[in-house]
Amino acid sequence: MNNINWLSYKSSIHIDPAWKKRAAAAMTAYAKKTSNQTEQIYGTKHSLTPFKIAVALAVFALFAISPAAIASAKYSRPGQLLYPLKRLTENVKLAVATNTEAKTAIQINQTVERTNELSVSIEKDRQDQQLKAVAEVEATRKELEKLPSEIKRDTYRKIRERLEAVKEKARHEIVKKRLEAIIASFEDKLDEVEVKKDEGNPSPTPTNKPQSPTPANSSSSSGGSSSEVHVETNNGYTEIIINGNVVVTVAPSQNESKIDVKVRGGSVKVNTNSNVNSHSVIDLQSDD
Amino acid sequence: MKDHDHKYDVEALFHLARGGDGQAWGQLFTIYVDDIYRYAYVKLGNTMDAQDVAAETFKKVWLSLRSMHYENFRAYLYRVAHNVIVDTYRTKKRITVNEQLLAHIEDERQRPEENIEKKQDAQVLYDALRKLPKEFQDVLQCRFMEDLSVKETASILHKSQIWVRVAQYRATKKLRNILSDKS
Repeated sequence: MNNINWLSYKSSIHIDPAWKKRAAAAMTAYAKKTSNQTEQIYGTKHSLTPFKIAVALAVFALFAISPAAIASAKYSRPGQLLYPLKRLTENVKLAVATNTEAKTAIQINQTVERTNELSVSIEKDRQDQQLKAVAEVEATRKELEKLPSEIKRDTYRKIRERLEAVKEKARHEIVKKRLEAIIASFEDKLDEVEVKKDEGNPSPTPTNKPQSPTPANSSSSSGGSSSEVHVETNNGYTEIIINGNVVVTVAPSQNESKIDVKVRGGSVKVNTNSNVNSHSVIDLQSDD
Repeated sequence: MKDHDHKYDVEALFHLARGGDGQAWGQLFTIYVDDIYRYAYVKLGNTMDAQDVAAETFKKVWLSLRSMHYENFRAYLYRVAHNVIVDTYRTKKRITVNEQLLAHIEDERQRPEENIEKKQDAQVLYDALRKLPKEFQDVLQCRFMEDLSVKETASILHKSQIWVRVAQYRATKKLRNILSDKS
């Protein structure tokens, strides 16, 4: 570019010296005023941002720890040597999940995995491991509260059902009692979610509800006093409503004419008609 | 890295500024603001906008200074300036008249004894550059006006080094053709 006079072009553009002087003073003042902000943004003088630390830890976890150890850790249970590694890989998975849906799916899978661990610990009959596994399950309840409300309800149900199945297998009294407490807390959470849902979609009051064609068939499960009993279907789940309150929910898989369901405080037998429709009338009979 | 007369002083100033010294940052501003102003002015053709871009660039770089190394500092200034200019383009209509250059040429008319040939060269080059595609103008400006390396140019323009080399070759060829047509 010898024949192109860049220097002449360059020298034809020069800055206003008065502006430069003013701007330099203003820049100095700005820098002095905001010198704390640079620290707030970038943390330390070593420029180790939290993101860099997290990435470094994730890389360490993925490469420094051998794949064989990670594979073995997959089947570990609370109280075992490789269990912390299993939880670490789970947390890394959760941390690198990019969208909310993926994070939700991972959280639910982790909760299910906790119940599986408890189930296996019970089968192996290691009381110490069982108690640790119970503690892990308890801890997941807090995590589940962060889930979106529309998923929370189904997840609480799923986990509660699994825990009830696990409780049946438990042999140690202390494990059983703690599991009962956890199941009760899940039921409370489920009630909360359902009450919120009802508040969000106000349904007609029991007196305003369409009456069933044969209301005389309705009866309460205990004591024989007359109550308004209805069945409603919601997303495949059958809800049994007594005096306007949802007391029992039945999973879609239990689509039979006679359903044994558990209500808090005892179990009842629900005789549905051949098809359960919205506002069908059912009989509730004491199971005992 | 452009060789400044006070290279080691500048490096010391950089480290002082990186440690939060506002006075040192003011001095670095004085050293580099001409380059950034010129870079912005050639693109925007407007004194006020170029001053705004220069000030905004230094403010942004100051806030991210702690995570920076001295070796990349000058190229980073240009890169931030380039991004600020792109934002300015988006919000404002580009002014194509190089008002300062025209003012200089007007001065030369009034003072013909002072190196008029040099100024005419500048005007010819300015007109020829304006006929090139914008990307070619950017490459030539970085490489020949700002004395930036291929690597630094690639970093500023968010392109690969190969792209910069090829664009530089084509832009130079095209500019030569335009200038030879004029003469």
